Amino acid sequence: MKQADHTPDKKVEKLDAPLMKKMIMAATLWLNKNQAEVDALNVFPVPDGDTGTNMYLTLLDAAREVENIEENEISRILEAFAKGSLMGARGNSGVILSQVFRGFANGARNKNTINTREFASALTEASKKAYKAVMKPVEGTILTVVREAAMAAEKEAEKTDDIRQLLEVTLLQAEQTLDRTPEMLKVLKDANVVDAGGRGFCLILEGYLRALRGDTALEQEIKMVGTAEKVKQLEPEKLEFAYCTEFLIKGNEIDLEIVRKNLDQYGDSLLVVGSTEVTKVHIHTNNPGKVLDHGVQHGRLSKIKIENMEEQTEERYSAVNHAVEEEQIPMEKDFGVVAVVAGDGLGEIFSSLGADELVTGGQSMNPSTQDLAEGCEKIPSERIIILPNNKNVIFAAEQVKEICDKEVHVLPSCSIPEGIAALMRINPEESLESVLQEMNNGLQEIKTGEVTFAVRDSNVNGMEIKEGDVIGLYGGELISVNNEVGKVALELLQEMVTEDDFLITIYRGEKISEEEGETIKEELAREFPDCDLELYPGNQPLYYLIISVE
Amino acid sequence: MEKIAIVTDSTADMSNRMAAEHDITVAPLSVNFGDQSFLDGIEISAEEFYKKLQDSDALPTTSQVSVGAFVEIYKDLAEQVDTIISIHISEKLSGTYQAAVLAAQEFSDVEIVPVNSKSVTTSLAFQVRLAAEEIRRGSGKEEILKRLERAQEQQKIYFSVRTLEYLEKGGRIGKAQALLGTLLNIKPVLTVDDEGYVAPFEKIRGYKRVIKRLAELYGEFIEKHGPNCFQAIMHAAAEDEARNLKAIIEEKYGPQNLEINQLGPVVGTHTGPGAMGLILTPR
Repeated sequence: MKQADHTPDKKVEKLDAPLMKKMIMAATLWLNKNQAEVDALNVFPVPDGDTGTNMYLTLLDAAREVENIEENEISRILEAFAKGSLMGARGNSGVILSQVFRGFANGARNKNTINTREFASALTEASKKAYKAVMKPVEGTILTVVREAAMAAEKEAEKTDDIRQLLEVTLLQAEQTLDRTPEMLKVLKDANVVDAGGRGFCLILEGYLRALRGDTALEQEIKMVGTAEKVKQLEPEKLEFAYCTEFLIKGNEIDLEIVRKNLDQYGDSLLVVGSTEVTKVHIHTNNPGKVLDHGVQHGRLSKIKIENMEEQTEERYSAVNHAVEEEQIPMEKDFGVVAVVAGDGLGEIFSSLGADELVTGGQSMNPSTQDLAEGCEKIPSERIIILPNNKNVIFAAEQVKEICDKEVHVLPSCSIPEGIAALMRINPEESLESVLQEMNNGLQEIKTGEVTFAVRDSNVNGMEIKEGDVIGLYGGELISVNNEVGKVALELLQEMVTEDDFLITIYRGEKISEEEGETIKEELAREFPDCDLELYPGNQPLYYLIISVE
Repeated sequence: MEKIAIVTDSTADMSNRMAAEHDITVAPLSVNFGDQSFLDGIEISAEEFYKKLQDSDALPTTSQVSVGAFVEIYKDLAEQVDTIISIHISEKLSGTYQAAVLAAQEFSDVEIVPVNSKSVTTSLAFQVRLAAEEIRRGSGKEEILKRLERAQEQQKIYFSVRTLEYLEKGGRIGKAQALLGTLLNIKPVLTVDDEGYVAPFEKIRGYKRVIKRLAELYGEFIEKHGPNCFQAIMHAAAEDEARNLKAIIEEKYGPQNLEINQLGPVVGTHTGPGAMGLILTPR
């Protein structure tokens, strides 16, 4: 802005039609210049932040309406402005803005010019109209900013007859209120931003003031700005960095600046926001693992989400290879879930499905009642469901009721697939009673097969077994003996799959590589064309494969 | 007699023929690819849209009907009728209903009643058809509105999407947010709930099991409400799957009037290709 354009000493006692027109043009242009900044005040880290664009386009339509009329009364200008903004209103912010202008025009009805008092009372009308337009007004938004600005204007109007002075004070109040919006609205505070609509309103007031000061840089023709630029911002940087990684860090005295500095090298679109206790991190990276490593140095991680942005297919497989734990630290849950699991892959799957606490154990290493009780104690919830996931663990789990003060329910899942089927049935909005009922139904729907090896020579069901042979078990019964994992899996499935089954899931153990797993999966897919087949790394010990059919 | 006109919007995915037959005015939303904006169903058809979606790198976005567009539509109709019933996509999914409410306030010489259908696509179209039936029967405004309310209480939408990504990126994921981030390949059955939000109905694994479940849900609905229902299978460029579902339902329940339709560009933008759903409204 050029200094020479300032006319600091000139008082403005009344607004007339030409001056109002000039102010409207200036406000439109000023909003245009700052549109991207308002767009960036987005509480969600997804590319949908277009409050600035919406407000600008609304104002642009309104300004066009004003541009086309030759009237000497300010009321006619404001009427056209209000009408134009309503017709052009885009998005919620645009609609509210149109109501602000409608109220302002109502407040200045039949006026040739307006003075400070009239300006202030029109702004009060504007605030009232905006509140009325919203079904459930929320404080900490543009509504609060307009209301408090109007109150400041009313007060100042008692003292001055200079509209420029009045606008200075009104704008100052609007900006102060804007700064307080995060205190009023939690979503803003969590995202560490001020309200975007409120910011847009401040920019409009600032535009008015600049016109009164004679800022000629703004007195340009209003250019039409299409949505092309906006869309350009929207395109995610998919190709360069593939993984959209998000998580919360919970800790003490987290230094956001240091987190930012540490992570900046791993990708782009970095966002580190929040407080010193809870910080949200969002980054597009090719190395989510390293990002998580850095994150964990600052505190506990929670709500971890990693998404492959290039991935359009149904395969979520690659994400499985990353250490992902979702909702690890649930707060104030109505009930919690303890699951008995062996193998880090299976552990991750259980956590991602909502198990709050994992207790290591399984076929060969049954956890003690004490281990299970400790798991229950760790969950911040008074009611606990235990998934034993093994017949031999159910009894120990029942004993937890005796030594734990919490209300403990044991859901008698006899295998890993049963535990998963039960977890899938949880609807956290339902009562515990119906959740347990649903989980029990889940158990009935799934069949479990296991492929492992014989620990000694024996003879079962007429089948000769040598130590080290690969054996297949279905519901505890020995079904197949062979020296190849794939063959045993096939024989097992031939026994398990009926025409009512549509999904076969294979969890490969730590001894089976991803490649071997894929080969087995492909062979089985040929044999069972009516079923979907899925393969996950369970990394469980002892069992080559755990297979479910449903 | 009171003359009543019906207005809806393009998210009803109504064919031009159907709209003309029932004398419905359809206000188009827009779908935007980059800096190009197309009026839903007018400047871009469903087929063209899914083709374009395949070729385009950036995801499309959508824009609601503007207040101004509604004012124009209402102005034309105001000269011909006494009452306009304007039935629209759930206000939880689009600002279109709110725009209709604001536009309606600009009129004093004609009564305009905006209705939040709490639904979308063919489910919305079914409400529009119910209203049209009532008008033909000579019903007044109050009766029509009551009929719509009942439909809203009983209507069901069950659908599945290939990926939740489109719902999430478009900001329409609603209560299904909770399903994001699980490691297993979960194919949720989603619904549009009583309030008009997208909400998870059930978590299911395996696409074939989803189809089986949708067929079961069809059976449950027919058992409750009887076979005389508006019913349709909607899909987003997933005709084979839709036919498969239809065949399963027909074999088991033998309905006569189960239609298959393609989701239009605006709704398709938010479900993504591969979405498929079952839409049921008792008559």
